[in-house]
Amino acid sequence: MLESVKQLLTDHGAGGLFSALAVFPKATKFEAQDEEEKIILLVRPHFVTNIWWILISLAMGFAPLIWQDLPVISLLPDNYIFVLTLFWYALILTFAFERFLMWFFSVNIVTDERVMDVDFYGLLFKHVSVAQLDRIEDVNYFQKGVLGAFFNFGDVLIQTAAEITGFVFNKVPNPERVVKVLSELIAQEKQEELERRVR
Amino acid sequence: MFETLINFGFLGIVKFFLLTLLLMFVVFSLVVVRQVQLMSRVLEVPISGGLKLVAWGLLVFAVGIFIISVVVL
Repeated sequence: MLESVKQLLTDHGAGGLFSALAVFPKATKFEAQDEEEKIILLVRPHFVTNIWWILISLAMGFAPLIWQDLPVISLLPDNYIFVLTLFWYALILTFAFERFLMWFFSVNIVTDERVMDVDFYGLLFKHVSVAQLDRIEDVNYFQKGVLGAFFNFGDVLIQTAAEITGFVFNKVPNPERVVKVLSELIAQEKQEELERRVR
Repeated sequence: MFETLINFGFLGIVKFFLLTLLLMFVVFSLVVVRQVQLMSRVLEVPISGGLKLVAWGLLVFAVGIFIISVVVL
């Protein structure tokens, strides 16, 4: 096992099912995963990035308490207000569930062979980028904003030699650790490639 | 009589819009169910089954509200 992964396991732990940074995630597979391929890291945006939709959902939950005083709503009979209130709560639940799905399934996966960036935009669009480790040329990260500095999350930028020149792991926790793991994996992959050529 | 007509017209419009919105919401819930299936295919996780159940639950909720609306309004 790589030194950086060992260190990550010691300091951070393996991470649970809803963790934004999971090391060797259990019972997790991705589409097109090879049989012998192992997932080393499963990364999502830091959980704190979900705070905006959680707050919006909570605020929306209080709206029916206020809207009964609105002139347009007060004109409606009780059965209409009842249906409207049910519909409103169904909307909130669906909005929260949809936002959760976007967060939960928009993942970055690092295996012993490649890195993958899966992005879902809304419910109907998906974008998957894949780069073999030996095609990665440069990895770096940057942190921005108060939240990023406070909760230690940032963007990891991966430059590749492929046609798609780079992709980003957005707002991942401990970006410096992720970069370190990636750098060691790339070095190991390049070393293996060199050894194969010598033979 | 004129007042009654206006009243009926206003509630009729509200009913039409509510039912249309609810029907669209049922369709959207169906899309969510399908999307959860597709997402679970991209990334298989232990709670995939639970998430599918929640999506189906929301669809049943949406259909339920639509039926209640047709009966109650």
